[in-house]
Formats: sequence, structure tokens, C-alpha cells
Amino acid sequence: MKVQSQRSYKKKRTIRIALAAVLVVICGWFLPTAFSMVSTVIMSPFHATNQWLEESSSLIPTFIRDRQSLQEDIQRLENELQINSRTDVTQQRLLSENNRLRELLGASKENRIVAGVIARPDTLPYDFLQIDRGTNDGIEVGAPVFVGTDIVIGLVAHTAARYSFVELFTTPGFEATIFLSGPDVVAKMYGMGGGVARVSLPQGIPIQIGNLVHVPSVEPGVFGKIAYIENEPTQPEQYGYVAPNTSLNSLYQVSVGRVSQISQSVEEIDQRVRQEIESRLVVKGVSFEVSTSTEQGTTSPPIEI
Amino acid sequence: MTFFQGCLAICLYLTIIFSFMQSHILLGVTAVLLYTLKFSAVALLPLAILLDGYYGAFHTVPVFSIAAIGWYLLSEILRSAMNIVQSSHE
Repeated sequence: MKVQSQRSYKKKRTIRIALAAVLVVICGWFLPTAFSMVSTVIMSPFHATNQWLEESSSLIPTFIRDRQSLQEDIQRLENELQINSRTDVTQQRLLSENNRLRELLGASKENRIVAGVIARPDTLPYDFLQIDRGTNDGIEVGAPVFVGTDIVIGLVAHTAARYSFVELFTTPGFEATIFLSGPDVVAKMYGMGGGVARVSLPQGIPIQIGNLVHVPSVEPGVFGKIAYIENEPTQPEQYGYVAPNTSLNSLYQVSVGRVSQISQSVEEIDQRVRQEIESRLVVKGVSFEVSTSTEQGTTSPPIEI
Repeated sequence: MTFFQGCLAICLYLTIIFSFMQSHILLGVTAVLLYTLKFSAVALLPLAILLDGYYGAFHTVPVFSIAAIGWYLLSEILRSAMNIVQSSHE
């Protein structure tokens, strides 16, 4: 009986407290501003402490904040790693597909000559490189110079027996026709000196920082990215400034291609493609037999092409 | 309530306040669970109402208050259900 009364008392007490709380909440709904003001006054010490935790440069708040930011950084980097690993796989697939298609189309791989950089713009006039290979090694004037697989940085301007000079695309007065991916337009690029080239485009073409600059006359040839855009609406042209992705001071070795890697003209490219296609129509080593059904059952000898 | 229990109650209560103010929901929920198990959920009701007032939740829906009332009722029901065995020895 005692237990029952205690339980019922507790039950009643619980219901009373819950009802009181509900009543307070309803009052809060009717008087939200008053409740907010009272709460702000009561919570002011906690508010101050919270602000201290969030903004103070003391040891404990800094430790807590650093830990949080490090955890966020770890999470963000893990996500980026996941995305990059997927992108890497995609790039590998695209590269292998590209190589396979190039093989099918008969594009032969050009041999390149590896050369060490022996003088850079700090000892030479800017926008020139000196490399340790010359005519003895097969370097030709006009041959494209690459960094890595497909980044073309300039052309061989002068060769001696054992060394050569490379004129970079950023040399003042150097002109080249480029293809700008993104807006997908062909434009002229002018060397400005100081490791910078400029692309001129009419107003209205949506160029953006990071657009890739291809040099279509060199195969394969990517020069760099648009690093800065100068666009004044009152001017008829806008300018994109291009800087090579690799710092010239960090260049240790480059590879030199052949002059034949530079296409001379559109007609020449067309002719080259036509020749390639026509040569593929003739299949060598295939023989066929011309058989005749005579009474003796003789068969003519096979004709080989 | 001993001195140690009092200190523990204050620590847990402050942890609940600051974890909700700093948006550490998991830590806050854990502290609420511990506080309810060790003491009672009654003290959480004024705290929830204060937090709702502080964040201006009475202009819309006072989520903390509603959740606290619900949690108090649930915890009391569970507590009384668990105390049946204990009560028979009284």
C-alpha cells in the first residue's frame, strides 16, 4: 500500500512538473521577447564564457579550436584524397585510351633528346635557356623544347656543336597561334618578357583564370594556364597573361623534340592525314586465289599483293 | 548528495550548456544521458527553456524545451518501471 502510494505520488509529481514546464513554454510562445530578455540576462556569464572559448587566444580555447580545425582539415583532406584518387584513375584511363587511339591512327612517337639546363635567366638574358646538347647530338634549330611529357616551353634558337640556346615563348616579340581551352578559341600569343606571355582576345569571350593554353602547331603542346586577366570594358580587346607552370629556376632537365613535330601549314597537315589514310587502305601480305571450275579441276596459282 | 556528487552534477551541467552552445551535439547528448542516469532530468527543464530563450527559439519552435519535457517524461517512466523491483524490498 505504501509502495503504491509512493509510486502514485511520484507519478503525480512528474505530471505536475511536466505540466508546469509546458505552461512555461506556452507562456514563452506568447511572450517570446520577454523570455529572450530574461534568458539573455541569466545566460550572460555563460555567454561570456562561450565567447572566451570561441575567441580567446589563451591556451585552453586555442587548444580546443586548433583541435577542431585540425579535425576539419583532416576530413577535408581525406575527401580531396578520395576525389583525387578517382581523378587519377580517370586520367590513366584517358591516357591509355589516347595512346591506343593514336596508335590506331598511326601517330608515331617522336624520339626526344634529353638535355640538361646549364644556364638560366639569372646568368642569361631572361627568357633564354642554355642546354648541354648541340648539333653533335642531333639538336636542330626550331625544334620544340618540352618540360615533362607535353608542356612545351619554347624553341631552339641557336645550336653549336655541344650546346644550344632555347628561346622561350615568353621572349619579347615571340608570336604564336594558340588554342585556348575553356572558351575554345584560337588566338595570338605574344611574348612579353619576364617569363610572361600575353593572349589578346576580343571583348565578350569568357576567358577565365586557369584556362589551358595549347600550342596546336606543336604536338603535343600545352604551354600553361591563364594566370591573370586584364579586361577593361572601354577597350576593344581583353588580355590574358600566361605564365609557365614550372619555374625556370627549378628546371634541371628538358627534352628536345624534332623540327618535324612542328606542323608547317594546314595544307601540310591535311596532306599528311590523307597519305596516312590512303596508305592504310593497302593491306600488305594478303593473298587470294582465283579458282576456276573446269573439267580437269585445275586451279590458278595464288596472286599475292 | 555528497560533495563529489555535487561537483559531478555541476560539471555535467556546465558540459551540457557549453556543448550545446558550441554545437557539440554528441557530447551534449552524452552528458544529458549521464546526468539523467546519475541524477534526474528535472534540472534540465529550466536549462532547456533558458537555451531556447537565449537563442530566440520562442519566436518559432522551442525545440530544446519540447525535447527536454519529452525526455523528462520518458526518463521518469523508465525510472519508475525499473524501481518496481527495488520498491518490493522497502
